[in-house]
Amino acid sequence: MAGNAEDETLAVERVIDAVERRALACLAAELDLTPSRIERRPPETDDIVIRDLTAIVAAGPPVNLYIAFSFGDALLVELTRSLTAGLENIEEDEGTLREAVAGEVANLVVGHCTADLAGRGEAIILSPPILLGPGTIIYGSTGSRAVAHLTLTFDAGVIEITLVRPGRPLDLIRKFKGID
Amino acid sequence: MAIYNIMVVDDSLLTSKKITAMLHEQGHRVVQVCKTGAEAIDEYRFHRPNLVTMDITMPDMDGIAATIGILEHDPKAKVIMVTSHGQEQMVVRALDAGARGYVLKPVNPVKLKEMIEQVMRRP
Repeated sequence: MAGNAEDETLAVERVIDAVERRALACLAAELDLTPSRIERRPPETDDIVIRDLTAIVAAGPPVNLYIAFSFGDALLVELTRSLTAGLENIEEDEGTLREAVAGEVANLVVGHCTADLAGRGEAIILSPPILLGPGTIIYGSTGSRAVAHLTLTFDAGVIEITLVRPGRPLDLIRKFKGID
Repeated sequence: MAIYNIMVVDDSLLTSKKITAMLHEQGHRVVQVCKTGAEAIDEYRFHRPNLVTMDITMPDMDGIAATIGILEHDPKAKVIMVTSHGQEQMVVRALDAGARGYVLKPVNPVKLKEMIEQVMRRP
């Protein structure tokens, strides 16, 4: 018999713990970046305002969250420089590369988180990263709501990580694709 | 060292470029880079590579479904999964689908080289 979906959903605290741990490990190992400040705070409003380039990965049951990574401009420039160093035949423009970097970091961090969050049941399904540009607002009235914020501050700028509990997951994915 | 024709399947621009650079560095030929699972199945038929590196999470068809599609066409196809998934269940699903091995993202060139050698040694 299928269990109660609410009972099977992981606690937000457990997910944000895993995201913080894996983000710090990934940024340190791959980019030699250590934040000068780590801050968690509760969401201020139900609406989610996208101020910087943002990559969102949807994580299926039992996580049931959208995990959004917003990158400050200056930091993203530095990350792009580091991650594309030594690569040949780069024909893409700077904007495309920055989007690729944002998606890559989100994908790596959330992908690695699944090792901490998976139980003994089915594998946690992840979406590919979805990119949102500055100026986008996801209204709380759609049923989705931010449930946790984490800010990692580096010398070159910040990464804002927001956990979003969707009202209706598939509708929200369609909405993101429609905005993109 | 043996040189192989390899097809890279990954929707991530950075990962596909990095894997391509690593494979060139190791002396292999990258015959095709695909961004989707459906494209991978089509291009496999055309290029018949010795080996495929396959991402798991892609927009239209995931890498596990694409691996099954390639193996339906060529049961001897050699596919290595390249994934950021840290969970054991996903790796088991990929191997059950017929993948010969896997490497974790971010891809380490030494581990990729060892996995290619290990997979190509087996019939």
